[in-house]
Amino acid sequence: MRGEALKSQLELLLLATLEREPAHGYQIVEDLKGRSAGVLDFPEGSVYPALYRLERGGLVTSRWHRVEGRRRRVYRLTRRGRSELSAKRGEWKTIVRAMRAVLA
Amino acid sequence: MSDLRRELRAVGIRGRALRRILAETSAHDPAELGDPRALAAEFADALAPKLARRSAFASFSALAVAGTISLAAFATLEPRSEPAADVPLLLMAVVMGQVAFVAGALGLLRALRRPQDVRTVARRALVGVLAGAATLVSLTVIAHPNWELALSAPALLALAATAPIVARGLSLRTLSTAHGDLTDDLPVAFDARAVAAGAGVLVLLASVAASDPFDGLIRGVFEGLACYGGFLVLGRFLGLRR
Repeated sequence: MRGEALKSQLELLLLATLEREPAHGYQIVEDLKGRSAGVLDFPEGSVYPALYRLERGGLVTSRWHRVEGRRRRVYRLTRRGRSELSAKRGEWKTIVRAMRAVLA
Repeated sequence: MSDLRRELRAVGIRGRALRRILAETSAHDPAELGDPRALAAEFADALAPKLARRSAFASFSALAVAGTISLAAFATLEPRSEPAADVPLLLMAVVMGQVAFVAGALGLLRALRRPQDVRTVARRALVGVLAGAATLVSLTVIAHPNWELALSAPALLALAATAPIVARGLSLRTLSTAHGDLTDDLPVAFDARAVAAGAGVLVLLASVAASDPFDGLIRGVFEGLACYGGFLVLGRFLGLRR
């Protein structure tokens, strides 16, 4: 899944990934690809502008950490990010149900 | 990675932001990162709102300091021994003071309403800061060697301190390049001629109230022409008209 279809949902996917645990960009990309069995395949760089937008909106925070000897910027979901994720997840489920009903 | 660095520089991303992006993306295979040009444009778009707000708030704060000192200087100013020599400087201070206020306020407004439009915000901040500096310098020359001279120095420094952030805003190239017009800033339709005429009439009325209608007429006409002239000269650059 590439392009605009994924891009519009990327921020939701990032929030959902960070809900499990704080993570750095590379880890997030690997997690997204792994959990989607490779279906969510996108330019890896596009994760970072999306993370910056989430950070600007107060939905995630980030700090430098040393992870396995390497300096990494680790992102963490904020309380506001959790409630945003909850709301967006609800919207997404409604859309999926509606799509199923139409396409079935 | 050098391609990404080059593209990031090309869209105006430098300094700490550039170092952060390069550090974060260094773990990835460059071939998997995506097209460096498209990615750099995405980063510029992501950074634009924060930069626009910082640029607008920094310049408006510095202008508030400069404006307070300018108003105090206006209120206490005593003409020098040759008042005729002060007229061009006073005119400059009056016109530039208004330009500074309008540009700074509109910069703040655009940053709040359309923070993505960082270049317009930075342009307004630049004009506001330069006009504010011109106002202070004019008043300082007139006031010399009185106390206003000592106060204008920190105000000028405050204006100068905004230069790096304004320069960063000016150099950032975002995907959205349209500067729009005043309808992007104001909730009501804007007619430059009506506003200029209104400003002129206000000045005239103020002078009539001070029992000097002839002088008020001259000042009112000058105010209206200066207002409309400013709109024509700076309108496109500041995103006031298309």
